[in-house]
Amino acid sequence: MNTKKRFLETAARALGAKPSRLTMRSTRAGVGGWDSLGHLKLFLALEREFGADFPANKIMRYKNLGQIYTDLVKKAR
Amino acid sequence: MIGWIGNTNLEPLKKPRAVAPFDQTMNELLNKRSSLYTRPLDAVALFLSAEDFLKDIAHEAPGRAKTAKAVSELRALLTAVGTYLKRRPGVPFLMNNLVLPPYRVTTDIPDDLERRLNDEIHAFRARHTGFLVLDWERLVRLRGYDALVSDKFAYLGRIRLTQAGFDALSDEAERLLRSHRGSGRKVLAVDADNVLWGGEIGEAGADGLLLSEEELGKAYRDLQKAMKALERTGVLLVLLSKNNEADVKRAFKHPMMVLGWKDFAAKRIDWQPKSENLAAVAEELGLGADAFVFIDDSPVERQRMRVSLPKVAVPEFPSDPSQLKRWFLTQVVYPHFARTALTAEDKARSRSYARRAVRSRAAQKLDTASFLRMLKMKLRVHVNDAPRAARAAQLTQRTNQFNLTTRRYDEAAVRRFMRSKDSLVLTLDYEDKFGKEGTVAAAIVKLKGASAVLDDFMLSCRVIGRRVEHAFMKEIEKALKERRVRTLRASFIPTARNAVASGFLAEAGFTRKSKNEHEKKIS
Repeated sequence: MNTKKRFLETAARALGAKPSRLTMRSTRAGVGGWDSLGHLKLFLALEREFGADFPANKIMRYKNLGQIYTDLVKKAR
Repeated sequence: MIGWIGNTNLEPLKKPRAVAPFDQTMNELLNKRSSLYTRPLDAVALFLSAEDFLKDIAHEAPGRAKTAKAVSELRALLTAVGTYLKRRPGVPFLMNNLVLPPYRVTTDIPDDLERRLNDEIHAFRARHTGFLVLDWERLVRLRGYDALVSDKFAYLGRIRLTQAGFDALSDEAERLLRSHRGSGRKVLAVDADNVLWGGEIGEAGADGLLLSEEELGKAYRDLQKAMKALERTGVLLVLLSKNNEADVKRAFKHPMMVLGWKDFAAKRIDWQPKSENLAAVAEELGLGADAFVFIDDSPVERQRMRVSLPKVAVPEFPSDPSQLKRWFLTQVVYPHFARTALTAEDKARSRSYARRAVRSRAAQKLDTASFLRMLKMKLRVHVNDAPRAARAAQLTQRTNQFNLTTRRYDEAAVRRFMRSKDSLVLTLDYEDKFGKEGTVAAAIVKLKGASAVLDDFMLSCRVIGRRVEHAFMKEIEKALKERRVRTLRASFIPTARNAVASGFLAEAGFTRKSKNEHEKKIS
């Protein structure tokens, strides 16, 4: 499975959303389960799935999935 | 479903589970309108994060006063748990032991704060049946504090664990409940070549085997020692080997062997598919395939077993022999055979099944009646005998085959039935010329004036086929007659596994009243 698909599936599981409904442009306002708790569950899940570590001060600033994915890919390199 | 409470946000726990609002622990335990009382829960679990419970002193070298204060706060919490246990008996309650962070302001050897807190929890457990300690300390040791505990998510959302921490906690709670219910597995079926020793006996001969007290040969010897220790806890060992039996017997004479020929309750050494052999052994022992764990170094054999008998647990096998012991303990014993408590019957089980195998061979040569006479059975019934409460509860939990109603009770519930004047708990002890089997049957009868209801009636599969159940029923009727009971009502509730008991009530002289209901006049 490619990283992008794995990323979207992990995000969907954490947010309780259908993977097909998520895109890189999805924002907090557009996804039902993406409230403040959902936001943290998203990062818990991504850190578990990809072994990444997102700094606390950055976690609160992300606006959409694309921004998170860009940083995740940078960390993986 | 497990209902979780705690002093940290537990929302990221694996589903299905119920999670109460965090930091409401006392309210949840004591308020009868809280979710712990109003939701149907199979079990309750309390996760107490040491960091959030102790706050600043988790990282300090607290003096005597602060230590005493923390201990008394924990005691207050446990008192509330005790109140809940009293109000909701029979619901298992899980609580973790506490692990202090490995970071402190002093480099001095840590004081005894952690030990004193955990002593409180263990002392509480000793006084309360149904209270189980979830070994968080073991998980932290195994996986590492940094991997399981998070400061970041605690700051951002009062979430104290990482996702790995939550997943480990969920899995451990489920595993602990399984072992509490006694639904662990009973038999370890092992391959011989490259499991009990390194190399192939048919190729290398006994002298060529890797099995010794030093270097990698010791890895196989240590694995055998671990298997032997497991066998002593009541797990049966079965040998499944594709070899000539004479070769394997030669290997068992190797001076470095730990396991002996007789440590195996059954052996199948031939060229038949291992799944067929395992199924035959299961029948001989009177167990289902779901009681078995199968280990084999060959991925082909593992796959064939998984396909032919999907209920058998088939763990992966390590390619590096130096990992054998650790793999065996963490991947085989811990998930499949761990128990919360061992009873005398558990410890005697291996011997008992070995005797059963001897008995069933004897049975093949004789007709049933002469076989039963030959056994020279001695039966003894006890009524409301408190020392047998634990075993009676275990029988209600574990017996699937000869069980009329399959009602499960824990020890506390059985004790209540024993104490109540409205019910009787009867147990049956069994002995024959091969040895003592201990308590093999139990029944719970509810009394109401001149009539009584057989609430639960079960017989261990170790003694099925010896008409022991009829002798037990006669004793039950005798006990009821002494109490001036005239009618005994009983039901048979069919399940996927209790067909063996379906004809029993009719055979014992009960008249069928409706689909499952039966009745008998006691004279």
